Amino acid sequence: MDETFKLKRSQADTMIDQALEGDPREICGMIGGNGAVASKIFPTANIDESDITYQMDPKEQFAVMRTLREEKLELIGIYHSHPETDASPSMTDIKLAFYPDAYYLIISLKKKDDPVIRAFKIVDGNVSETGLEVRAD
Amino acid sequence: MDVDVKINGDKESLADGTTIEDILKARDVRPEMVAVEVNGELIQKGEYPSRILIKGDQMDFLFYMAGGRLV
Repeated sequence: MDETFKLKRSQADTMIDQALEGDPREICGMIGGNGAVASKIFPTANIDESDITYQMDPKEQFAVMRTLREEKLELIGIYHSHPETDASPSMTDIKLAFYPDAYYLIISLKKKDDPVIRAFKIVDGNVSETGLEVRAD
Repeated sequence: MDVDVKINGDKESLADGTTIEDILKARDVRPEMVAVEVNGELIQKGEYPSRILIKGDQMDFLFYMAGGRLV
């Protein structure tokens, strides 16, 4: 099975721009699509307004889930930024990963002029990095 | 008598008197991990054991999305 997560350049840029605008705070959002192919990025607010944690507003989550249902899309990804650290899941990320079917994307701004995005599956506390393919629009 | 509702968009028939807590328990979902809406209204956790779904209700629940580089 192809475990490579696929998104368009403009979608990756949406997440990176959100991360840079939110810096030094962590930002977050949801990704709709089918299988491992992203169709739509949903930036959401980080109600923690924190440099080291994120939490989405449940009301916003519900609204996105309704939109996904209406548009016949699935929740395929959850993303957030690490403004100062690597694009690797922290213990907090792993502990709070409740969506085993979703890809977890992390945007690292450790090098502000060279953001890095990596994708992971997190299932029952086990982390595996997947491929990430950024396609031209 | 069964009660027809929708849970996360899917039609379901529940036994009369089924509560939010019953529904979560049946799915092995710990209440502290999820937020629940019924007909678009966010339900407080304290109401999960007593809130009974009635015909036509639409219940949605989702797991919190959170994390960060804290640890």
